[in-house]
Formats: sequence, structure tokens, C-alpha cells
Amino acid sequence: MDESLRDVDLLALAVEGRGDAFGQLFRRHATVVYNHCFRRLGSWSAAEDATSLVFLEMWRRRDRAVHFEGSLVPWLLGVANNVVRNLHRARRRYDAALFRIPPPSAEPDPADDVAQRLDDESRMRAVLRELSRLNRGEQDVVAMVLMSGLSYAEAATALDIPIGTVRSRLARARKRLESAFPAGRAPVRLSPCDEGATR
Amino acid sequence: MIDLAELPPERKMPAAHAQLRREALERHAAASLAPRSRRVTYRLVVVAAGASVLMFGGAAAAYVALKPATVPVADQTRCYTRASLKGGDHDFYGTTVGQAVPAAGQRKAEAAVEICAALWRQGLLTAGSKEVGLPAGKSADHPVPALVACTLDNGVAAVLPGDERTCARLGLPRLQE
Repeated sequence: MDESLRDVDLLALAVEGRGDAFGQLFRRHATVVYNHCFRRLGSWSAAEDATSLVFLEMWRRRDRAVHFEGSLVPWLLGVANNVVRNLHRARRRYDAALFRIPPPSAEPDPADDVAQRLDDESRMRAVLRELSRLNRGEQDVVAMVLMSGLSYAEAATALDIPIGTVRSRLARARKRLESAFPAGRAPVRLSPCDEGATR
Repeated sequence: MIDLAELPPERKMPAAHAQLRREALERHAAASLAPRSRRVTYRLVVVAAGASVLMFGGAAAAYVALKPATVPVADQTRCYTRASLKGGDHDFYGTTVGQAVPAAGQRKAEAAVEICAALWRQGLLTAGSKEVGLPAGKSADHPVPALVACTLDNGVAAVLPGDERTCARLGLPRLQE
């Protein structure tokens, strides 16, 4: 499979019946989706299930895929937002057991990795508790721009909203957290970017 | 103070998990494309059958051509949690699992029952539930009900709680022993 193919071309090949093209899209973006889902859910195992569901939803909506300069990442993260919000329903739509069969026993499982992942989950849940003060739209923008590093334009594609709305929601998110914790004592600092990182 | 710039580091999905999930996704995509071609083929066969009947008046030709498609979806097995087909293909009581079979081989009831029994033993399936539970780890095995393997109209193996009469009661043929 040609590594230089754009996502949107790989998806077209997959629709033509090239299963390896769909597999290639998974290889290419599973980590981004997996980490985005983790940051929304605070659980690595739930993020694994969610990642599978995101790609299943991607396949189901393949005729409506939206690319950003050939990349499907912003759209995939938008799909991920919907999946994590409706995780229970999405699991029912697809047969989740297909993805939960225990892995082969040869799977390495070093104890330090387990400990680090538990620590990740504890830290992430603390962040999510604080972010729950924001409304849903603000949380989405914070997750896209500040946590997953999308640019404002990419976040606008992902969330299907105007770029100005991305900016205003982010500004409101900052203000809301500051007002909840006056005198600069907000436990979540929302400072990393003005324009959003470019992936 | 929690700083979003110091979120937990990005991690990769464990390699074996990623491989299993990728393979399952590829199977799902392939399966979702395959029925379309079968439907088209089936329509063509029906048209050809109609023409045969008109041209030759041959009942035998019509029988052969209109016989339901029985091409099995060879690597899928549905594990039901109750002896009912309620919910159709998308919201039934149970779940679907993938199962490798020899390319030229036949589906065997024993293998289909065994893979579903494994899900029951791990606590993934609960009687009468549409939900799929989490693996129970190394705790004691969960009870496995008596299971019987039937064949759905689309060729998918269906393993249901029940006995040798269950398939007939549901209007399904038994899967080959």
C-alpha cells in the first residue's frame, strides 16, 4: 500500500473493496483517535473500544466523509466526539464483543506500563472533573484544540461549526474557568495556544 | 493546578489489541460490501430464471435459479443470549464473533458452539441481555447454558440457548454436526 496516498484516496480504495486500504487508515490514525478518546473518557480500555467504534462509524458514514486538505483526522475526531458521547448506544449498534475478546496470551504486559496507565487515568479524570464546568460545546473545542492539537480551522471542520465559533467558545471556556476560580486560581490552566497547533 | 500542557503523554494502543481490532474492522468492511454483490447476483439470477421459465416453461430451471442464496458468511457466528431471533440483524439478543475456518472447509456446529460457550464462560454474555459485559479476568468461569447451533437464512451460524428442537421451533436448519 502506497504510504503517500492521502486519507481520502485510501478511503476511496477501501470503498472499492480494498480491505487493506481501510486497515491502512486504521494504522495511520488509530493512535490519534485512541488518545483523543482517552482524553474524553479518562480510561484507556474504554478508549480502545471507542477507537474501534469510531472506525466503524467512519465506515458507516464513508459516503459523507469530510476531508481537510486530504486528511480525515479532523473529521475522525468529530466522529469520536459523537461516539464517546453515545458510547453505550454505539456499542449496541455494533457487536462490541467482537472487539473485547481477550488478546493473545503472548501480549506483553509489563507492570510499569500498567502503573503508568493507571496514573494517566487518575490525572485525566481530575482534568475532566474540572472541565465538566464547561458546557458541551466548550468542552468539545477545548478537547479538539488544546488537548488534541487541531488548528482552529481543523477544529471547525471536526465540529462542523464556523471558525469564529471555535474562537469564541475557547474564549468563553477560559473565562468560565477563571470566573469559577477567581484571582487566577483556576485549577485547569487553558493557556497553550492562541491559534491552535497545526497537526 | 492541573495544566493542560501537561496532560498524560500520548500512548499507542497495545500492538496485539490494535492488530485484533484492525483485522475485525477489515472483516466488517469486507462483509458490508459483500452482500451488495450477492444481492446483485441474486437479482440477475432471478431475472434469468424468469426468462428461463418464459422460454422453456421449465419448472426445474425455475427451482434451480430461485433457490435461496446459501453462500455462508463463513467467518461469522452469532451468539444469542435467548432462543429468539427478535431484533433482526442489528438489534438481536447477543453478539457476533469472527471465527477462522478453512477456506474449503465446512462450518461445524461443535466449533460454533465452542466459541460462543467461551464468551459465556468469560462472562461476556448474560441470559436474555443485549448488552455485552466486560471480560471477567481470571475469576471463576461463568455458567454456560445448553447451546445449539442453527443456520440463519443468510448462512451465518447462530448459536442459541436451547436443545435439538430449538432450531426447528425457530424455523431454522441445524448447523452440520
